[in-house]
Amino acid sequence: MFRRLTALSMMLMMLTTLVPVPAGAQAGEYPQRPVTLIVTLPAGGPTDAAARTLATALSQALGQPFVVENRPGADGAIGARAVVEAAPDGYTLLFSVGSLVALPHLQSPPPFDALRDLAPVAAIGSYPFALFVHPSVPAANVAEFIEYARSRPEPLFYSASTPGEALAATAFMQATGVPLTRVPYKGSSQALPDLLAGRVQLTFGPVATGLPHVREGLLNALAVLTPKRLPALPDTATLEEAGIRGVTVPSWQAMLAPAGTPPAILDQLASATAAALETAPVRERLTKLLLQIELLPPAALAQRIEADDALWQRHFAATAAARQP
Amino acid sequence: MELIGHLQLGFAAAAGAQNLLACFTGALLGTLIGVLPGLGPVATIALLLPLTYGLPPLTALIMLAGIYYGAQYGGSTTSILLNLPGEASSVVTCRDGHPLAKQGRAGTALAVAALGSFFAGCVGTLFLAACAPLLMRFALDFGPAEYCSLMLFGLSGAVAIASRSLLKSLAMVVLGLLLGLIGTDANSGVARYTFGLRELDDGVGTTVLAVGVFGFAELLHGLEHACRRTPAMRPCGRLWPDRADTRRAVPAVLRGTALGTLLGLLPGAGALLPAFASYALEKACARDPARFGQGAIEGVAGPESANNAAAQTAFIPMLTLGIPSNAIMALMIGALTLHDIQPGPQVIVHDPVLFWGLVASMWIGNAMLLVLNLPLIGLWVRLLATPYRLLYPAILLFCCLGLYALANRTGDLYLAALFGLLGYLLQKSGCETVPLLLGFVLGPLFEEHLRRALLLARGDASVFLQRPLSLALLLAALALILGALSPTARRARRQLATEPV
Amino acid sequence: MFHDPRDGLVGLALAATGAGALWIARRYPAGTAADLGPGFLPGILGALLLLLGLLMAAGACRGPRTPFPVLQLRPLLAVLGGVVLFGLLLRSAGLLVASSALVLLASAGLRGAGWRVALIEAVVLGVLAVAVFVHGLGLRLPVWPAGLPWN
Repeated sequence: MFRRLTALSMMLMMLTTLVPVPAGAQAGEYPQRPVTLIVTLPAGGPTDAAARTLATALSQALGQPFVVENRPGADGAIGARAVVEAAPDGYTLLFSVGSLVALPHLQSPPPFDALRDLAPVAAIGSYPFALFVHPSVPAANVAEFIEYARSRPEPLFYSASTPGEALAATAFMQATGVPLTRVPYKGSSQALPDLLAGRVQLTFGPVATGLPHVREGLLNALAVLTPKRLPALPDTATLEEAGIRGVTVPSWQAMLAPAGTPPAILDQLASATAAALETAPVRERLTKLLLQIELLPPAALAQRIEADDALWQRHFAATAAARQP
Repeated sequence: MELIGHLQLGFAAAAGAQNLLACFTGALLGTLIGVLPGLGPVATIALLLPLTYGLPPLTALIMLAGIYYGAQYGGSTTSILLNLPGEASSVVTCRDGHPLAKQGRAGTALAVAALGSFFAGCVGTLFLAACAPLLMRFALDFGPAEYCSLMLFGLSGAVAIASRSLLKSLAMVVLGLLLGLIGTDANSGVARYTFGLRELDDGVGTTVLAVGVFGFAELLHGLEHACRRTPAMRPCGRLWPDRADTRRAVPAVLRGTALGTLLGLLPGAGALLPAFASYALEKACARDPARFGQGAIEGVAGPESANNAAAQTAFIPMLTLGIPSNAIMALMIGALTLHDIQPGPQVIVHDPVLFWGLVASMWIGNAMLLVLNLPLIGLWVRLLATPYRLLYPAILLFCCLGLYALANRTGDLYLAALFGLLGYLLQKSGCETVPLLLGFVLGPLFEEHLRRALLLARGDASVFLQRPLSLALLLAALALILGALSPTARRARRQLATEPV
Repeated sequence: MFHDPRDGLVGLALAATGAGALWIARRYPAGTAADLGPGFLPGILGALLLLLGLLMAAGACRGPRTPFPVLQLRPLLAVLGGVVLFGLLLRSAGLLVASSALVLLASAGLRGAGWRVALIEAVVLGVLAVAVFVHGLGLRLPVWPAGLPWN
């Protein structure tokens, strides 16, 4: 009898956890219930951190929780498809990165149409890239590096673990005529040991990955791939200062919505994002993550995606042509 | 002694009330999660990561680390009692742990696993504290050629531990290797064996395969024998190992600890390889290898120590170089990054409290786990008294939820069901599934490093023989294969083959 | 034909798998020594599995005669069917319904399990799953079926 009573009371206790919480907002206004922000990268990475920072700010601003859901896989195609296929009601949003636009060119059949299936909301900035070399490469700047690379009988090895890293290296080779051999990796964590041991001599990688090793003298940063020098690497010149143009990595971090989401909701989200980027805590947090804050409103983000699409198309056409004997 | 000063600093930091609480919560949570079949530490840490955002970095790290090694402890419980590995690395523990439980010696097996893990954890932590920067050189010198040879060594081990048919084991390794190839090829971007399914682009998850082939298949096996099963298992055995057990277990723990400490350093080697290598080593050292698979205590003590030692030393590449050696370390790097700490060489110098505090907390955590786990053993064993018809739906549900929580994908559930069917059929056909898992885990690494080694050597295959470490590993692999073909090993297998499954 | 039909069939199945893997792998380029292609290892492994499978089948034609093992369909359908059903229901019908359905179907895998006990267990475990995973661990999942008024 006693055991039965305990079991019953425990069940009752558990049942209370099921009682749904009524929605608090007034009818007719967006958002009325929690919004899911699908992140195409696993929890714990820099993109996830940026997305969670934005989600927290939007939750406070719009009065409903913005919940991050990590849906990694297939370079982001799985998460992106989940958003493309979701109802365009503003309750399922996407947080993704610049290489998203490369996917339709990389995968066959294309998982989605980057220009038509997604409505840009806002980009909050980008993670900067830099050219890192192993200390065994006797070069203090890009000019010396080019000279050294040309003087070698065999091309130097570069590591590439994302389409963006390969894109930067290919553009660098096209701009300078320096031959380099690509060593592909599944992720930067696999590439780092070979780079630190000098088996691979260089990489065009994210500043956040290489910076701790530059500070320790295990890697040298020869150039940053941004238009301006970075506060984190004040002594490192930009590639443009070294006279090399056209080497960029589309590494923006942005929020997108399924195509067909009502314009009013898109505007509301875009202006809330813009306002969040003006607040001190958000700026401080994103700066700590080494993110370069640069707000792109919907129209500007749409233009950027279009430009990136063309960029990727050229890149993959060139790579395919190079493979032909 | 600089080390003692550092450790004092660490203990002072870790012994704060908040950090002790975090350590305890983490260890307890980890144990519970490890005990729940199917829900591994990766899914849990991914789920709980946001909760630690509000904590100070050291506290957050201590808690995550507690979950991590707590789960290593807890994982052995279901492996031994139910033959259900919570994680790929506990698959090895099932082989001898479950037969021991069937003989009514579950208590001893669990106690040996806990004590071995404790010892290995302490030694691993000591290593971490004493020579982290030094050990890092070793890990960095381990290049693609060495990795490739290490994987070949592991694969030969998979064949060599076959207890019944060498041919079947070899076939299972090859099948595992093929399953491991599923997914997008990182070098060329070609999608291999995905049959047009985008969910397969990243390959099959190790947990999905392990839960399917080992978990679901074991439940099916259990259902077929349900009427015979429950009474056959005596609910409790004695806890402390007797003298014969101790004599066998102690050297196994020592060997396992040494092996795990070294292999844990290598990024990417994971937790399965140390556990498995230790098992192969124990079987090779044993005077009567035929006992293995029938309830040999060394088969529990060695792998459990190896896997826990590796769990501790896996922190070295993460803390000293910012290189995650497994998915959990990657999540911890994420947690550190969020707190504005870039894991890398300067953590020890710039954040000594964080580094030494974490090291000290591992000691405290391991001690807590021992205190927590020994009394719990009786409880877990008594759990088996639950009628099987009530137990198995609950296990199945937790497996399914754990699978879904891995990546929020229902596709993983269907895939695991498919692997459950495969595992069931393989079990019925007398094929061992451990070599399959090993081939599956090591295969992609083998291919990746083979291609990279050849690319960096510009096509010169002699690189594998020129590098001394690589050559040594290849010779060891050869020795394993020759040992398995020897007349003694053949006789032992023939003897087992005639016994009923 | 086979003295050990079990090993014979497994051998043939493995050989067929190897042949299939080999057939698919012919579309993947094998590459060169310095740049191995995606087809190098699949080709070797496919051929190896084909060979091993045939050896196993050949071995089954000799030796002592052994009976074929019994396969039980009931547990197989209940357990694996339950997992698939859970996956199908999870996102549309919510965690509570999916869990209960899984437990109910899985309970049918054992002959003679009373449906009353199973029903109670289904409800208890469903509630427990919601409490632990949704409220405890914060897993993102609907609890109730879509379209209910309080959603």
